[in-house]
Amino acid sequence: MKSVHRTVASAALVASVALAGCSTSSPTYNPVLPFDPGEAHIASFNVNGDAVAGKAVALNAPADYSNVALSNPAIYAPGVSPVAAGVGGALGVLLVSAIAAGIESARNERINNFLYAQGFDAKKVFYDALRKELGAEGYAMNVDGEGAAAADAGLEVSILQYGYQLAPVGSGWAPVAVANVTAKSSAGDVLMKDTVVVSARGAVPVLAPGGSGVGGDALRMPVGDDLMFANVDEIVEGDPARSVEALTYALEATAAGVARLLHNGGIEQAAAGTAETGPAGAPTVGGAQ
Amino acid sequence: MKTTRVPVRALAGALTLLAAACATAPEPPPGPSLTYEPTLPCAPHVSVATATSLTPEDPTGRYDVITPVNASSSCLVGPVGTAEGYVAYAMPMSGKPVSISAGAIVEPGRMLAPRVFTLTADGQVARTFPRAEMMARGNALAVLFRPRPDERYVVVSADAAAVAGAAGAGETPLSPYSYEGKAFARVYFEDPAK
Repeated sequence: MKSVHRTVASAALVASVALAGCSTSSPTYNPVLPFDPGEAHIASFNVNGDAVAGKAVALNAPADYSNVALSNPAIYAPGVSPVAAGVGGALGVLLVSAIAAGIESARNERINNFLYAQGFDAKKVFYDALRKELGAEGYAMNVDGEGAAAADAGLEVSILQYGYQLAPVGSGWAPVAVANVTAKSSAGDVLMKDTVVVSARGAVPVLAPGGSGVGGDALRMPVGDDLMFANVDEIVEGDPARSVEALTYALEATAAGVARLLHNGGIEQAAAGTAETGPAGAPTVGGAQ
Repeated sequence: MKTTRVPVRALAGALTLLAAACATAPEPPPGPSLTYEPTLPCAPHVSVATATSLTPEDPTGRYDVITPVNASSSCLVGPVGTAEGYVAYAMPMSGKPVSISAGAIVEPGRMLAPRVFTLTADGQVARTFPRAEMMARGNALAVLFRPRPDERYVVVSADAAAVAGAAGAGETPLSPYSYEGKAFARVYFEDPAK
């Protein structure tokens, strides 16, 4: 079956590239942390200026991002050893697969040439979307290098991968993006640490009977069926507005995910109160209320 | 027991398809339970006597517990007066838990409609997390929170109002809401697994 060949070939490519550069460091474990500014009231963030690094990729490897996890690096690419996966953590593996995809550089070149011809500015799309989404959550935003105002906290976003990827369950190519996010106080304390993934899920979420485990950590933003393409030809030679719309969606959804993680000032503020002043309808527990 | 997922999903998926072609048709995944007939009597409050432990032998890395919610689960009379199955998890007693994720597993045909709240040692509700704070992560819908010192239990129960579809306009479940399904809790300890 064609899809099996592709998967095996891609895994082999990923494995060969990964092992070539691997170190013996142990996999990097990062607990996921919900946003908790503590006593501080955060009204503005200073965001790094290099969130959108590198060019778009077109990955010819079907991927189900259900398992992307900051907290368990050695799980994304089949065939890659945990040690190799440990280079840069889970998300380093994604970079590795992007490198492997880069071996098929003709395909990546086509995508990037197309985007260049369309005047697509990924950085502008992302930062404009981030400003709008953070604004909707009540936060102002500076970007490194602009303006002199000091922000209340720092936001480090790293979009490790964006572009188009073969979606799981043979449904074609879909836009994709993966980003690491960390929020830090002005004192350098980590206020939030998480991952956002924008990906198509495929028609049936899980092929393993009985479902599977809890899966990964990453906040998953869905991709609608209307943003699918049959193949790379359709992306670069089909309706250009549609192709651009799809990649714009991936970057905007990433921004929406980042803002979502900062929602409401954090989980501490959002959760409802104690038993004494509990919300109407909260289950009663124990004896006296 | 620590569970660690190693997804060879792409390969496994393809192989599963190949195998299925030669075998009898697999059972379809269960659909949503829109009524609930518990076999145990339902109490007005959560019983923590049979709480499931979230303390692994080695409290490092992350630790998952998945628990089916079905007719033989403990049940309580929920906020709308309907019986709701639930699972109470006892927060870790050792290690340094920095965050906890709790909610429901998204199954192909259904998912437990989760309500998540925490309890103090004497069984009082400490915090109730609105479903608007839950997020789609991995194979689940969950709330990620930092445990407070006074919190001893996290409870995942079925949300009868959500199953009845009365949960509020604009909520689009990841899978049809059900009284029965799989609850889970995942602890992230500060220290990586050895």
